[in-house]
Amino acid sequence: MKNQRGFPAGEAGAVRFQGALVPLPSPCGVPDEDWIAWNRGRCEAGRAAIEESFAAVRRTVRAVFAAAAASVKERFRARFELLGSALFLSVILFIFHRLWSLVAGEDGLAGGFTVAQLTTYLLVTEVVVMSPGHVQQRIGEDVRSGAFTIALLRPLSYVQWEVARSAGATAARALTLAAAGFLTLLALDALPVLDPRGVILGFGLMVPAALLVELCARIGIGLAAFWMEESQPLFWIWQKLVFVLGGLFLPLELYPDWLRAVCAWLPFRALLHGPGRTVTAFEPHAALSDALVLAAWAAAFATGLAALEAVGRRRVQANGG
Amino acid sequence: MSNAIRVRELEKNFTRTRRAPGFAGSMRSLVRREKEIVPAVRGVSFDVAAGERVAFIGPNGAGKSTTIKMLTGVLHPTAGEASVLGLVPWERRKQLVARIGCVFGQRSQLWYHLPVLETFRLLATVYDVPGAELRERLDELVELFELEALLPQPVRSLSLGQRMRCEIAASLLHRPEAVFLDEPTIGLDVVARARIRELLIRLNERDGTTLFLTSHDAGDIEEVCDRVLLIDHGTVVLDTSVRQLKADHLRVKRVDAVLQEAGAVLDLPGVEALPAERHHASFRVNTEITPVDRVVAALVRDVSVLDLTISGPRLETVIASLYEGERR
Repeated sequence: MKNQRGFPAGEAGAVRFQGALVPLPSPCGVPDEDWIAWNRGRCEAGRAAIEESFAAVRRTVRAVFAAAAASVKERFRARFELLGSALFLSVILFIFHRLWSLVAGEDGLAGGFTVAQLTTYLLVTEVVVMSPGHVQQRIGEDVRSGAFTIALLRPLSYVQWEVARSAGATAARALTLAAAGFLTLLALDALPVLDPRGVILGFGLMVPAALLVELCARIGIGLAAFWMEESQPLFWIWQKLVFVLGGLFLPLELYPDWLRAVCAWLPFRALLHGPGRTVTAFEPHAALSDALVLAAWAAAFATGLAALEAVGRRRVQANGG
Repeated sequence: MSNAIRVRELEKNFTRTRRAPGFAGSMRSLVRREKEIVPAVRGVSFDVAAGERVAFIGPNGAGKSTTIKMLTGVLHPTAGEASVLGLVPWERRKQLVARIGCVFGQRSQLWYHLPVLETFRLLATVYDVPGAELRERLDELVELFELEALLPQPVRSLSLGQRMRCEIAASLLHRPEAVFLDEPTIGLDVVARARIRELLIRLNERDGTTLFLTSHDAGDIEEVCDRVLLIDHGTVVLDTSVRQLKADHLRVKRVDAVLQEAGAVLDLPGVEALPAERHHASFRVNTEITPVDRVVAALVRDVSVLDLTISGPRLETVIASLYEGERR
C-alpha cells in the first residue's frame, strides 16, 4: 500500500527541518508537485530577502549621501569658521615659505626639494590635518550625554550617520582650504611645476582617502569616551604622532633612515606623506604603492570603526546609555 | 481596539563598577574592579491601545528612559517581552524606527545653520519618504503646525517654541503610527506650551497617532493625556485614567466666599472652616462626604454671597504627593 505521494502507507513523505516541514522527493526519484512547489517557495523567499537587502543598502547609501550633502551646505553657511581656517592656513604657509627661503641654498633644500615644492607639500598635508575639524569632541559629548543612544532612533547606525555628517563638513573645509592654499602659493610665487597625474591622483583620490582615515580615527577617539571619562588626550597623542611620523612639515625623505623605516609600517605615513609626495614629486610606482597602502588603511580603519561601534553598543547594553 | 504597545514583565539590569572610597580604593580599582548589578526596570507590564494618549511619568531615576529605550529598540531587555506596532523593538530596530516618531525636548534633530525645509528634506530621505508623498505630507504639517513662514528660516533664528513645533513636525514626516515624546514642552513659555499641547491633541484626533509622553509638567499630562502610567523603582505603581486620578486624589476642595455681612457658619459633615478675614469665609470640603453643591447651597441659603471661588489642589501637587508616597 502506498499513499498519494508514492510513499509506503503511514509515511508522510516529509521531514521536519529547522522547524519547517520539508517534503521529500517521491521514492522513485522524480520530483513531484509538492517538492517543486516547496522549492519554488524557498527560491521566491530567498529572492525577496536578497531584494530587500539591496533595497536597504540603497536606502542607506541615499541617506548617507543626503546627510553629507546637507552637511556641506551647513558648513558653507558657517562662513566665518571656514574663513578663519583659510586665514590660518595662509599664515602657516607664509611663515614656512619664508623660513625655508632663508635656509635654502643654491640647490634648494636637503633631499633635492625646492622651497616651492615643500610649501606645496605643506599645503596638502595641512588640508588633510585641518579639514576634519573637532568631530571627536562632539562624539565624546554624545557618548557622555547619552545622545549616542538617541541617534539610534534613526534607521541608520550611529557611525554611518556621523561619518556622513562629518564627511560633508570635511569636504567643505578641504575645498576651502585647498582654494585658500592655492591662492596663497600664487601670491607667494611658490607654485612649483606639478605633474598633472600627481595632482589628479593626489587631490582626486589620495587626499579624500586620507581624510576618510583621519575622520575614522577621530570618530574612534570620540567613541573611546565609552571607556574613558575624557578622550581628548587620546586625540592629542594621535595628532602629535600624525604630525611627526606622518611628515606634516617635511617629507619623510628628510628623516633619518631608522625613523623612516619605522614610519613605513605605520598609517601616519600613508595619511600625510603619501598624498603630499604624490602631488609635489610624482613618481608613478611610488604613487601607486602609496595609494594602495592608503586604500588598505582606509578599509582597516573603517572596519575598526564599525567594530568599535558594536563594542560601544554592547557597553551601552550593559551599563546604560 | 488593537494594541500599539504591549509590554510583559520587562526587566533591565545594568552593571556598574563599584569603587572603594579614598586613594587606596582608587588604586585597588585599577587592578581589581568589583561589579554590581543595578536593576533599572523590574517587571514592567502594560498595554497601550492604538490611538491612546498615555503619560508615562515617574521621578528621576525611576526607569522611564530605560523603558522607552527598550520600547524603541535601542536597549535589549534582560528579561521580558515587548512589542511595538507588532514588532519586537530590539530585534527589528530599523524597521520599527521607520514607523515611530521620537521627540526629545532637550535634543534637536534639526540642523542648526540650515533652513528648516532642508532638514525636513534630509529626514525624508533618511526615512525613505518619496518626493510626491513628502510634498503631500509637508502640506498637511505646514497647515497643522502653521509652519509656512518658518520653513525658509535657519533653525538658529527660531524661538524655542517655533523650534519645538518644527521638531514635532520633523518627527511626523514619515507618518509614524506612534510618537514617543520626552519633555516636549521643557523650557517653553506658557503660550508656547499651550500651543504644543493643542497641536498634539489635534494630531492624535486627526491621524489617530498613538502618543506616549514623558513629562514632569503636570499640564502636559492633564491637558494632553487620557491615561497615566506611574513608574517608580523600575515598576509600574499606578495605571489609571487622568480623570480617575483627579477623582481619586482631588477629593478635597476649598470654597472661598466674600459675604455681604460677617458670620457664616456651616455645620455639615466633612466641612471644616478655615481662618478668614471679616466678610470672608473659607471652608475645606471633603467631597466624598459632602458634595460641593450642597456646601454652596447651604452657604447661599444662610447669608448673602457677593463672590464665590471653588478651587482644588493642582494635579502637580497630586503627582508630587504620589512620588513622595512611593519614595516612602
